[in-house]
Amino acid sequence: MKFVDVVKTSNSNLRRSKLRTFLTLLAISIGTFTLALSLGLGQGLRNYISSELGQYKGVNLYQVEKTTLNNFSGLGNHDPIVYNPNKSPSSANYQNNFLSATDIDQIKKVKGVQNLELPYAVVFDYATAPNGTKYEASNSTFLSQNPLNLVAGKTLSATDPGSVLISQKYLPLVGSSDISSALGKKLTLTYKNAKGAISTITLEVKGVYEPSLIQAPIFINSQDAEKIAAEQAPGGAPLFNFVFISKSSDVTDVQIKANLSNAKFTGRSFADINNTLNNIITGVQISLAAFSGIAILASIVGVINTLFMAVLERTREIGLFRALGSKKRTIFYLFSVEAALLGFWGGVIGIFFAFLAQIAINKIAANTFLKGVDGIQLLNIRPSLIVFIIIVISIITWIAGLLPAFKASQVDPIESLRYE
Amino acid sequence: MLEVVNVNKIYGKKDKAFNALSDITLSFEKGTSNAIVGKSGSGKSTLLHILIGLDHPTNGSVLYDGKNILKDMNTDSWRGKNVGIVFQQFFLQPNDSVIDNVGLPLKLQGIAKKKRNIKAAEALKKVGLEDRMKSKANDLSGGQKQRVAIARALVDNPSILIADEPTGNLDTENGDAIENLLFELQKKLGTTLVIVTHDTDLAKRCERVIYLKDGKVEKDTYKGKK
Ligand SMILES: Nc1ncnc2c1ncn2[C@@H]1O[C@H](COP(=O)(O)OP(=O)(O)OP(=O)(O)O)[C@@H](O)[C@H]1O
Ligand SMILES: [Mg+2]
Repeated sequence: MKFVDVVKTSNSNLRRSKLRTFLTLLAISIGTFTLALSLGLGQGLRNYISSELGQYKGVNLYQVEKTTLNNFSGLGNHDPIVYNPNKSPSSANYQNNFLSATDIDQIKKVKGVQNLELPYAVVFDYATAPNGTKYEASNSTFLSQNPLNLVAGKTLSATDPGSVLISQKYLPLVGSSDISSALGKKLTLTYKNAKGAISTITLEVKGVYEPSLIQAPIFINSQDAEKIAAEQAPGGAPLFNFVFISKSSDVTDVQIKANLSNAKFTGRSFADINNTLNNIITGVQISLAAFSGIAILASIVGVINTLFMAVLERTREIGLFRALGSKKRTIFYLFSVEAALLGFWGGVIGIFFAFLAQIAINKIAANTFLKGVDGIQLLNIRPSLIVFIIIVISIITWIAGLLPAFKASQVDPIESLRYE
Repeated sequence: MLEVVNVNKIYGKKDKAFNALSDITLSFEKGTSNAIVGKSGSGKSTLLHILIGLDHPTNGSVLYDGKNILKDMNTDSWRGKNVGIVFQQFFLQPNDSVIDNVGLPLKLQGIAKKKRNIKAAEALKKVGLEDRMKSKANDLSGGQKQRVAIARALVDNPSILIADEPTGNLDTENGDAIENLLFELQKKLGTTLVIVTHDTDLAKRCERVIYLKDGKVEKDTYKGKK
């Protein structure tokens, strides 16, 4: 039998018992629907991360911290621990994680460490706009390797006292409505010192950058950051859990990490962080897909049932086909294609609705919890994903149909054509 | 030429064993008309099924032009190309059109729709139903249905035409018409006709009548000869 004829015949056979086919397709399409949405969500997040962290690709920036002993066993709900003079007490891990001045010196001496920068954490109470409005002013200290997509002005040099970079969305803080006019404007920031006394600092906008999820909206220069951080530190000296370094060109990524590790420090590049995030998303994606997998599995039972019923209903027809010269394998072919078509149509329907849902969900997300976050599409069902899902579902239902198809091929033509 | 040689068919095993056919040897010459008659349960249908390879004999062989249809060839393809079958119950696809029903054996052989339709239309012309091509098979009368079944059997110009009680489900008038049509087409096309029937009048129209009794050939008579 020609393939087109097999497909046409199978399709019209599916149309014979409409309700049964409809219910089977419903089950399959629910499975595909959830599968498409969960994979689409993962893809959306992945795209977003790569668009955000893509800036960090090839950036020579490592976050370095102490290698922890990892023996933390809960704060209090554990058996008494025998004292070991060679080990730091587990409850002290948190304190132990701060880098001492000696630690920082040691990191500087590690082979391949080129440039060490301290991530001063400065807290501003608010920024005051020229019209008097007070805004929150979360910020980071600018690092020399920090990749920013500048849209105007210049980036900061390592020190650059008195200068600041702001995100494109923060123009109101300096009373500007467009990017270029913001350059040179003053940003007034208010903070408290360790004793609670209020001070104000005024910085000049040197550059404007594209906002992104993981970048603070304000970057202050490290010299001013150092000064304010010292004022804000209770003991007069700021403490650090980690520092940033860049590596010299004569060592590889693996080497610098090994060198740090030998000195009992852990170095992670921004690419690693990207990978970690991607791994988390893959994990989430897999578990969501597993749930839709269960739905699909349940629909498989429906496919098998549908086809066994079809074989029973059509035994006489199978007998006729055999009498008219069709081989067992043609009968097998007909029923297994019918099974694959159930998956195909179920997949098409499921994906169609997943697509509609994607449009709606992306629209709702963009207007609610993702409002103001540019460039993020919560769901992204790609064409390749569509093709992949439909093929996989068709193969799965095809496999489910193998047993009924085999049964159909074994129908005894004489038996089935006997007149009752 | 179609031959059955020393064919036995035993149903069941050991003490339950039942000889439906015992040591049958027959040959059907090309272009002849043959009737197989006998009481109910005498083994007529069983013989017919073995003759076209739908059933396997317990022992013995079936030869087509000297070749064993079960061993020397693909039996299904051979049947599809060389045998046309007409059933007592017509066995049409009720919801398909007349032309699709007639083209079905060609479709199963993998012939494209265009060619199928041309051949099916020719076959329908032979049975006088060319004006009902597009009708649904279910909308036809019993006699018309059997004509469609004959057209389906003849669509690929088979050398053998098998009919198991072709008039059994029809009234006398329609039955006679179908009989006439079968013999007319058999003569015109030179087909080997093998009819199983209870109807002695129908049997007597054949050149040869084979009488079966309890799975054995009781009598084998040729027209003109005794
Ligand atoms: N599958 C089977 N198992 C056991 N016995 C069978 C089977 N098929 C046929 N028989 C027996 O073989 C014998 C011959 O059957 P067959 O159908 O050939 O008779 P028939 O001559 O065609 O009868 P009818 O005129 O009623 O159609 C009968 O006794 C029948 O009961
Ligand atoms: Mg019979």
